[in-house]
Amino acid sequence: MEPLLKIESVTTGYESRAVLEDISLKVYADDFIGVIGPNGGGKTTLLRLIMGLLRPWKGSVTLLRENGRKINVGYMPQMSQADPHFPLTVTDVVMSGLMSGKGITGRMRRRDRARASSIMDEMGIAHLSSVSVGGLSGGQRQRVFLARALIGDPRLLLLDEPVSFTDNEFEKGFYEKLYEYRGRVAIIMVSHDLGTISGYVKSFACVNRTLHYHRSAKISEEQLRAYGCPIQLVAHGDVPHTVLKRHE
Amino acid sequence: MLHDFFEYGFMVRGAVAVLLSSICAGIAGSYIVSRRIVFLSGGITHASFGGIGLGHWAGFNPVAGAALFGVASGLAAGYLSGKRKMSEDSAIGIIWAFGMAAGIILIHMTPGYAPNLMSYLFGSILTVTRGDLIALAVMALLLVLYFSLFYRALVYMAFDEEYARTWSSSVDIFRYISIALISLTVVLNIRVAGVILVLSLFTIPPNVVMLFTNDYKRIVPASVAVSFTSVAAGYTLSFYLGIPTGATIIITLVVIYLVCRLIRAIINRLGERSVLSLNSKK
Repeated sequence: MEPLLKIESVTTGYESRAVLEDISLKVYADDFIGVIGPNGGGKTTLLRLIMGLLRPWKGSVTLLRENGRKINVGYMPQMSQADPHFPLTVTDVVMSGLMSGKGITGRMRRRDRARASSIMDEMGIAHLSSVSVGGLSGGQRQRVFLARALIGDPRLLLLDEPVSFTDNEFEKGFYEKLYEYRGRVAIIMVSHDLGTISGYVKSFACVNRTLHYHRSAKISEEQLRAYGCPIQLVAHGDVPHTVLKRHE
Repeated sequence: MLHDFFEYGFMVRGAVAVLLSSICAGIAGSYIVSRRIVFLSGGITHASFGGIGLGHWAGFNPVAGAALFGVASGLAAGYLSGKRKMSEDSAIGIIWAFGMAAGIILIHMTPGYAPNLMSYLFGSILTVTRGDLIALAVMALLLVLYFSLFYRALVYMAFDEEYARTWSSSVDIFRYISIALISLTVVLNIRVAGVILVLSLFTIPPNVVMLFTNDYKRIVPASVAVSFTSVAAGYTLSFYLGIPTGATIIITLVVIYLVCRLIRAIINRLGERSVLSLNSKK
């Protein structure tokens, strides 16, 4: 099976500061990778690199080509990026996920609108379709952004801290929803919460300037230490093994 | 009475200016208010006063000078804040005061009396020339074309720039084009309401509309309508009362805004009451 995404010995960063050094990663169609690591370790940078928002200084990032064009990648950036007060309806925000295939005039057709209503249905936000995004709760807004990432039927989905600023109930529902997509779309998800996501992901990538790939949903404190990934201090306090082994 | 009104050529030109100005204000104003670049637009307007001074002093059309200064200062503020060289509001604050100061000094240095000073500060719709009207018409047409052709791209870029960069490599180009067009629009409307008042001509109508809807598609045409109604009302009122036009238009806008706020508050109150009565029936 050919990988959807190949990152080969990439070094990149901002201005003259390298954030990621000599990282490599292959992502296959049925992957669900949890990306963990300390703040400022380069987790978001990794996603921005894959999205093409940042160019590699060295090495290469290759997306699989199918029928002569690159596969679609869905992206859900961190919460804080969008302007929550901009007067835009939920439907319009969801449809912005179709812009990459549209060209700059972004003419939307009937089937685009139909696709928007079916994905909003799937995400449980159909009743909010004509509401302004500014009036939504944190959890509702995240579901809108997930719908925006999925509307273009991506083969690969990138999620950056999708459950921050939301409550526990939302968090569980969100992960369950993602779990339904496992196998249909490859997922790379950045998270602080190692304990919770270990029940859903198939493998981990520890990012802290370098990238260590751990081909299992179980990971021990010793392994994390060996990867140079001081995440356990943030993620699960005094009882790391209890939390991590929950799904054994 | 209507006969009186249209008997004078300048009144007709004024009425055409009202219509064109409303189209400009509704479209550009919706963008300014939604993106929250009101302060930037204020900076641009005031900086353009330097261009008015330059025009007087060097003997060319002051509106052309104002357009030059307005667009240059808009792009400069956009560049400085976009590159994070300095905070946007500091950059605007400097440009704002620099333009006003330069304008005053240049007008002071111009030999003879400068009779138009008040009209540039507070507007004089009755002195618009055929040339002004053509400029306004071209501007209105440009705005309609730009915002209808690139509607989705512009709105999505304003809403979430980081995400927009994943589907467009021209986010920065569009930002500069938008700022340039907004600057030019505001400056050309100085004739109608003056340096000091013009900004509220752009910002009050969308704020009136946003009391009732938060959907950008509706905000734009509704702002044009509110703008036209209030500018036309203010214009007519000033004619019959014999008071300054620019100021009357602004007062009319503020009164309309306050009335609409009151209506909104009453609607909210009625809504609450019906929710309460529903709850008590349960």
